[in-house]
Amino acid sequence: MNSTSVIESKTPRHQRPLAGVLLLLCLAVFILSIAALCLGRYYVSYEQVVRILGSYVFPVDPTWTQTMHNVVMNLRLPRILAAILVGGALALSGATYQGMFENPLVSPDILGVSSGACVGAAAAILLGLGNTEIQLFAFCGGITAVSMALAIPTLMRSKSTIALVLSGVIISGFMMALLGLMKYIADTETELADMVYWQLGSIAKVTYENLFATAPIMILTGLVLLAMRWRINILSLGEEQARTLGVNLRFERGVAITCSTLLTACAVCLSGTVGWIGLIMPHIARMIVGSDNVRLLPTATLMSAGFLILIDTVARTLTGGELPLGILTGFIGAPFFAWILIKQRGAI
Amino acid sequence: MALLEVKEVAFAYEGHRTIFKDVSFSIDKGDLFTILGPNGCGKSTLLNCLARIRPLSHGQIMLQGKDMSRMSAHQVAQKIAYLPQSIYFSYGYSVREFVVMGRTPHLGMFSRPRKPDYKLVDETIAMMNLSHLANKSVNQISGGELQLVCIARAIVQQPEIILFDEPTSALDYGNQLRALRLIKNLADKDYAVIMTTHNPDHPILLGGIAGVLSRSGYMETGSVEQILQQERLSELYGTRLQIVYVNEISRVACLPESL
Repeated sequence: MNSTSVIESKTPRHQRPLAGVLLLLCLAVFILSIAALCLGRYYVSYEQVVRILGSYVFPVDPTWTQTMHNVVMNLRLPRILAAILVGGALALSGATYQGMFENPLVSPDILGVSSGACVGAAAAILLGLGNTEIQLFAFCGGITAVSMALAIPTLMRSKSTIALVLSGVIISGFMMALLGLMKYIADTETELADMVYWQLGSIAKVTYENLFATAPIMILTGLVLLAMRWRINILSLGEEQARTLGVNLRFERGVAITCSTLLTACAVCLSGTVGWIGLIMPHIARMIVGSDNVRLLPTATLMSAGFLILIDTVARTLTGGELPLGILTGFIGAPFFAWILIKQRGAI
Repeated sequence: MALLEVKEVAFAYEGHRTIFKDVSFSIDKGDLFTILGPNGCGKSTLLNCLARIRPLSHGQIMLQGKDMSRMSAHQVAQKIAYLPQSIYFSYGYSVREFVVMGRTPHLGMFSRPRKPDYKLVDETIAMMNLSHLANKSVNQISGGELQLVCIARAIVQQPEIILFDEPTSALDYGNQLRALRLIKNLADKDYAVIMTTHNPDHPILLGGIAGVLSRSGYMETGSVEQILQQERLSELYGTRLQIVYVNEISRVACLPESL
């Protein structure tokens, strides 16, 4: 159909073949993963990496040392899986939130997930609990914050999204005050450093145990969001439009908010707060495949997964130590966002 | 059994003054019903109640014999399409992507439009001579074009009733008349059409039935000839109006006596 408009100059972004874009992105994620398994202070050649991975599927004669195996399988692979999950989750929930709130400036922690998770994690650090408990506390903190943010509009008897956004601002502000108090009373030598490090985001400490605990929830909620991604188009037209098109607004918005909140909460408890990704990745994806969420959601998810592998690899190879992810995503994300807004001008 | 039967409905905001009361009328396939009234009299609120965006304070609306308040949004949307006065887009969907959203009431929560849906969309876009816009962003077309695109979406929804809230308010004079012609065509194609307007010439041009909603919240209903009386309109708009027969165009027109 419509060959005339295609010829004009280049294919409009909403007509680029989605399957091709997704295939390219999958390939990129795969190549980045292999590269990330090779790179680091202890370099492992790409043949060895492929052989080590392959040995789990085919019988392969071991040509690698135990150290190589350990570095690839136990140190780097969980990080890469975490990067894929966290990156994908943040962009997927970010794009969903942007659709739901009819606002392209919304990020997945708009309802206070991140600040609540920070408070939970800080509380666990203050109590001297271990890594697993910190994650559990972070998860509960995030969910509690969002529940509070959802309760305020109910008390106001308002169903509007603006009321929801405002109550998210209120809850985030309150949580930040709580976090400030905890930092104030924390031991500056040990606890404070832990809190700050957690708040800046890192996937250095991720283990298979953490992954197995969170991945099922993340995959399930992610699949629900992907399944209802056309519906998010309708929700993005606003409440009145969605309702007159026959959407059960309360239920469908509830499902979308629940899924994206769980997704973000899981991501935050794996990695701490990694800012900007959930906000900018949907924008970049929109520049490539257009605004239709059927195309946008899978594109943004894959792109963000690849991006976080890249960032994490840079974070652990750039300096001798571990650079927190939040610092890098902030340095890259903020100027990039400015560039996007300048480039899109009236288009958003 | 009428297609849509409105029985003594009233609406009041919680704890506030009543917007309208005792409104009754019924319409059938192919009917064209114009709700006329001054700004702020509650035309849009009435239309919102018919679209089930707002709940009634009193009365009942029967859609094909069924109480509409007991139907789901999904069921109502399969019968009634609603075109708001203005529509704001946060995202630059293409016209084709936007028109296919009219299929929502025919699709489940986890489904997406398929080939037959897109075929219907492309046919409708072609029928309305909008093919040149199909791949443009909804943010980059004119107000008149957007109106047409919204009508295309309503047709794709395959409703029996189409509600227009002030369809002419954002259009220039030529586009206003084109929009009215299109609305009349829809009624000729057996859709029941209900629209609101504050311009008494619109019901005169459209014919059919009209309801005059006064500031006191009552609505008088009848054929356009019968209901559009000089005195009633003058009182409604608080200014002297004349309904005069104009020989050159062989119809009556509503004209102000002076400023």
